[in-house]
Amino acid sequence: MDDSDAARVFEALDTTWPAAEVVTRHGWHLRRGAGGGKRVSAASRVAPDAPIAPAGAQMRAWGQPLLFMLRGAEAMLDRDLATAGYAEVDPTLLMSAPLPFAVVEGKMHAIFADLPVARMAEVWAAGGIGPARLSVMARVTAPKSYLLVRQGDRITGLGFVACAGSVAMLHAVEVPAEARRQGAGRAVTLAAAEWARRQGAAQLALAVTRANMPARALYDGLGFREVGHYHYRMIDPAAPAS
Amino acid sequence: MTRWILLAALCAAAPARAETLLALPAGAVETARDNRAPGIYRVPVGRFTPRAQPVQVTEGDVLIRAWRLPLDRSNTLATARALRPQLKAAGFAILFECADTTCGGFDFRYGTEVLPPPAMEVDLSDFRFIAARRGGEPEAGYLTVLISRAPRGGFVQAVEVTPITTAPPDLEVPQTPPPPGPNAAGTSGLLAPLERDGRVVLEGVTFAVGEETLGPAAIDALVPLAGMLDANPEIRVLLVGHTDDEGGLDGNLVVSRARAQAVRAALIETYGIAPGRLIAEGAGFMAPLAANVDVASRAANRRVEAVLLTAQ
Repeated sequence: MDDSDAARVFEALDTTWPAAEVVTRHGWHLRRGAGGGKRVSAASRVAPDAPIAPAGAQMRAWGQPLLFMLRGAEAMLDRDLATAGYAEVDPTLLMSAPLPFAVVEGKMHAIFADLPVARMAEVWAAGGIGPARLSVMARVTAPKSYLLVRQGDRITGLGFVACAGSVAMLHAVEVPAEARRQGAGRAVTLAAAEWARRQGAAQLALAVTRANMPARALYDGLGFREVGHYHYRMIDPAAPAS
Repeated sequence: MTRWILLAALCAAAPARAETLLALPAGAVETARDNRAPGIYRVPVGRFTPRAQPVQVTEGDVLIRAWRLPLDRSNTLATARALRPQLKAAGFAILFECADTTCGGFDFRYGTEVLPPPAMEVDLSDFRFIAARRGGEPEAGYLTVLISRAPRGGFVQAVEVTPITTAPPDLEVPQTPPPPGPNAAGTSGLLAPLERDGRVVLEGVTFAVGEETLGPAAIDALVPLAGMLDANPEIRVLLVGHTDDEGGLDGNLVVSRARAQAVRAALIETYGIAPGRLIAEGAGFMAPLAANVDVASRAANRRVEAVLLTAQ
């Protein structure tokens, strides 16, 4: 793993899955997520010695849970947050594969859309990717595409891909339960690779939680390799206050 | 009469760097500050046309700042008029200047780097853009200013590229990596050795003495095998468990088969591989990797291998 590779992919992560607002203050990137999930709501440290408290104050002011994203080796900060009662959440891998892919698919037909059609929004919503995450996609100003893979008139897979310079990133992969284990996730990934290749990207990257073994197997089988990792530390809002 | 204040660098934690101070209407508040060092910025140097956005690609220390101005001091022309002499005073010459429709209208923003709202809000019918350069190539500095009036107030975004003159430290010539094979991207790494040798040892799938179950690290280590199976749905494998030579053969056959079955169960339950593609058997200590003479070689022998099945 090369630090500059990881930095490029982290930068692409911010561009292709953007927060509603990023305020850089007190040595932190503070993200206002507008309900779009952890990745767009977490604070990440930019100044090495930035204290935790002011970042927490801003998140509280936004009405967001206290949530920090720890990118790669931030062992000291990680320990400080753990000591302060922050629990580790969602260890995630950043994976990347060089373009173009040697394999191009196949039996499932992919459609590249500029905007999500209503049926896509329904399928995404059923998989937990609701309106706030569609807003994240809508906010992306970089080149982007909404991917739909179908078999006959059935949606078997969805994804969202956007391009930040030489790095394209795949997000919001959703395969409806009834379409799993039939190669739809693979077809979505290959469609994203094809779109990214046409955009002139040199690599396709994505984030996958460490615990999602079927997805990790899929991506590994397609030639993706780990280039970085992150996890969150958060105060569980449901936990009793001490 | 509009009052003007000088905005000093607000972020004390930021490293010292050359930063052009810009005087803005009183009440201006910094909404964003982002530093990419080094970074690339495509300086728009011409009107957007449906064919292209003319840009000068620049490299250096890229600083992006944005401010919100009070609504009653958000006239874009007044701000532009106030900033022009400041740019000149700082040694910049104006390369390109435009206002909304003369910039190329709505699409100008696609060729331009604009921070997301609410750090920066652009009213596409009321904005101005100035690009300026200081010094000559290859060490030219660039400063662009995007000024807009939006419903919530005025907005100014400044992107400044300062050439990096010092050489990056600690450089060395890296070793040349092996060239990627024809199937480097889009296929799994385990397929080639499996097809070449007919079998592969599952790296990282290790067992303590007598142990038959897989720990979390061993389950993690099955990603390459599961990925290869996922990418190649026609492939079936025989999983063969192995032991060291401690104890009798019958007992070791049982233990080795249990190890292979643990791998098979993880592939099915954790990775969703179809059960019909996986057979589990045990070879006891009948096929060691190394002579069982020390702790390390015994540990290496306690393993599971995947064997390629080709018969239908």
